[in-house]
Amino acid sequence: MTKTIRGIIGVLALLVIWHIAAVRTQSVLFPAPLDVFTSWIELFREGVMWEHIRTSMSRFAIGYVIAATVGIVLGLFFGWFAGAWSFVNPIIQILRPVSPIAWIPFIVLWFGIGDIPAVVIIFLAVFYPVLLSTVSAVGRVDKIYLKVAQNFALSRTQTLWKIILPASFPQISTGLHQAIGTGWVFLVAGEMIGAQSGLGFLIIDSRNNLRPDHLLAAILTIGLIGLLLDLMVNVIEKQIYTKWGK
Amino acid sequence: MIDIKNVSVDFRQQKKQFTALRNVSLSIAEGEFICLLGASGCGKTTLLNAIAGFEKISSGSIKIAGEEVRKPDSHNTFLFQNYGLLPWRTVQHNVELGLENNIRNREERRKIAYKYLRLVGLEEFKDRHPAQLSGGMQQRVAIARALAVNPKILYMDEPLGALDVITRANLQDEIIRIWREFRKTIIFVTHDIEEAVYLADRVVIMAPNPGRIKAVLPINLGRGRDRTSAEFQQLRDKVYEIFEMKNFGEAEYYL
Repeated sequence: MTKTIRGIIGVLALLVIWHIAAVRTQSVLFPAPLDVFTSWIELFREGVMWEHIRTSMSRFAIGYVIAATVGIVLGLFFGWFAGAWSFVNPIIQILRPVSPIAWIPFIVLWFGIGDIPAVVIIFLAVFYPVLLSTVSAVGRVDKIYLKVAQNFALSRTQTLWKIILPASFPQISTGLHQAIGTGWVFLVAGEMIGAQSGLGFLIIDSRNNLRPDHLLAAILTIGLIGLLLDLMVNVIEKQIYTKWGK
Repeated sequence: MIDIKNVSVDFRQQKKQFTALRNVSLSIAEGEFICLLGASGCGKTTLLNAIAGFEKISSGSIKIAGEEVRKPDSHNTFLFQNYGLLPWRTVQHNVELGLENNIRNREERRKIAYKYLRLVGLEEFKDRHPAQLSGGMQQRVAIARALAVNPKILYMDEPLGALDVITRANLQDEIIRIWREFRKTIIFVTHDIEEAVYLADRVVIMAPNPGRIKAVLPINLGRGRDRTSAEFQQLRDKVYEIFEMKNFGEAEYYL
């Protein structure tokens, strides 16, 4: 039995158990899978779901790209100048374990409600893992590459672009990969509190309207998009590793 | 051409001073093939790094063509035991690395790289990545990359140390061929006695604690050396003698 077939069986089994449980309880607060699926399709047909997905995805993309860029640039800098990193490292170690959610009161007070809080939350979720993996990746670049760069008289900037960045990229990409998952998780939280649109808002909105079927449809969508993002990164990562010869 | 005078290199390790090289003097002529031979810890790699400008010396002087060595020079290239190829670049682009600063024209760089890849017989592999090649092929790419910048001196730090015996013998011949064709000065670090006798014009025999030159042995054999010839064996035995590794007297009774 292949892994895919086992996976499908697992999902089907869950649906069956869910269905039986829902039918037995007969509660409006616990919709059966078929009802959820119908509502899900309906939300798509009405265009509501697409709208929320589009909003969430663009917030995610903006937050992620900004955080990844800042994280990589700062990571390269601090990895390169290890002395400077010793000043900053303790600060990062204190801020890093703080859930981005803890900042929400401040974020809402400073930026109001809308796109920015969600983007800031994603930024906070993505920035630290990318920064830390980049710093450590640069520190672990094989000294022989630096010797080669020195031998061929590459300037500092050239060494950074031609040697350090590509040499540390496989490890940086691990941080980027991890951050995709974390970022997506926190997007929902950010939108639940700080926004009037997006998938996170759909959850709050469904609760307010007492539509558990919509609520589960939103959760299902979030999960599926998270899975797709992960698969996408896997494909990209594979290509990178092939190029790097691993 | 290379003048090494009274060179010492001291390292500081946890407040303890460690002398890697003490009072090393050596003159190397242009176009000469020198092997630095010795056990680990004898400072042979330190000496090579010092000549190449990667290691600061504590006292003495190293001059190349009359000029004091202060930092690595892109005209003299280094070969490493683990090749130092950039895994994210193709073979072709690895060879082009040293040319990128001086030759702006892409096409011209490509031509030069191709020329040297052909020289080492790897032109068909130019679009591969290093990890797709065997160790011997990777070192050939590194040789092509080192030659592409048209260096005067080639520094080789146990470049064949990671290869199997047959590949190693082939590459030894290849290095000799390239050396004779281009008349480079080669300084080659090894701990393999036979390799040193096979390759060198002169073998510099080094000893540890502190790292120093114990003897310089000229190898007056022609090129196309025969490892099994009597003269070769004699010179090899001589090296063993200098290392005091040859058993005289009673040990032979056990055979």
